[in-house]
Amino acid sequence: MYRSILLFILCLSSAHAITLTQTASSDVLFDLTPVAPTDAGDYFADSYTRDKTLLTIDGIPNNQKWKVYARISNFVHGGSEKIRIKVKRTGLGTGVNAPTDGATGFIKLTVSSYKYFFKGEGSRFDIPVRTRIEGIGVYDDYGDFNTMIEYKVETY
Amino acid sequence: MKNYNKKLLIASLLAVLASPAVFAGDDANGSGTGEGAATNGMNPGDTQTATITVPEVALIDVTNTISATLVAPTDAGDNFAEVTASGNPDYDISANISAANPGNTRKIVATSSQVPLGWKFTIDMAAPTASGTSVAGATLTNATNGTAVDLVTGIKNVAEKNLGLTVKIAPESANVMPSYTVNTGKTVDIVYTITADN
Repeated sequence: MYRSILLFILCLSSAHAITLTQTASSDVLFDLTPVAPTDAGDYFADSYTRDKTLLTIDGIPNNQKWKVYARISNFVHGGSEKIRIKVKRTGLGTGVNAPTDGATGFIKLTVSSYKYFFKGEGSRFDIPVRTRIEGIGVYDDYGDFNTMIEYKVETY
Repeated sequence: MKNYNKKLLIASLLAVLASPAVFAGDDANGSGTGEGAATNGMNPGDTQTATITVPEVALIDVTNTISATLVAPTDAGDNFAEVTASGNPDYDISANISAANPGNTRKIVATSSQVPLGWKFTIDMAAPTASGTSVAGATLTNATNGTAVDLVTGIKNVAEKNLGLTVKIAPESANVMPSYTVNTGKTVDIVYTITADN
């Protein structure tokens, strides 16, 4: 009886600690300088995408289900939502179980709450994510604009 | 002794069961250059900086060539009548202002160093619909050679094409005739520039 209880305690004590890590090759930089208009009367395109981000969910048993959520820390353009940030899963990564959802269309991120992105089971490595900005318009001043894309994982 | 051990084990078991979820471990540092602070004290996560750089743009394209022929008066005492340059002149513009200093607007100016004595070029440039104010009756004369003349002020962020431009040529003074050029056209270059408004 006591051995069973002790074994149970040891099992709990050695449980994994799940982690989510974005292993972007760099910050997601949308430097529009190379695509600046060259003809008067023209302007930037409405949207641009970057494939810079890899997400890894690690430290978790193969049968443990999880969901990844995302949001942005602030609107890109002075508190308005004129420039929108969207994400999309573009691959499966590696691991035992492939992730699902989040690969059909871009998900627009907001500052108010986390948006469900995709889900999976067990550790999964280097899941590719495409980041997209939309709404670049002639009304945008020139300069640098920053926001933080925040990812989190929850088990269920 | 056995009862004491039993109580100790039960207490330990309760302590473990009462502890926070064992799957909640933040990755506070992440990895890669996009790493950031954990997003939430209870849920593991990572953050990434997204930077959008919108470069400065200041492009203007004005119809390259316009022409005008002054018609000699037939009555003594008259001067040349004002003529409007042909060639359907117009202009395109792409320009933006600084996010850091949005009050620093832009303007379009015209300069020339070739306006002959006694001539007057009156330039009316329509303002972009997005922003800007047209300066009515802006003129270039021999006296303004080398000096910028404002045509449109208060320009913010614009990208528009085929905006109106009218150039009229006339004697600067009603009682002073410009010199004649016989059958040789006189070329006058007018340079249009986007510049700081203040």
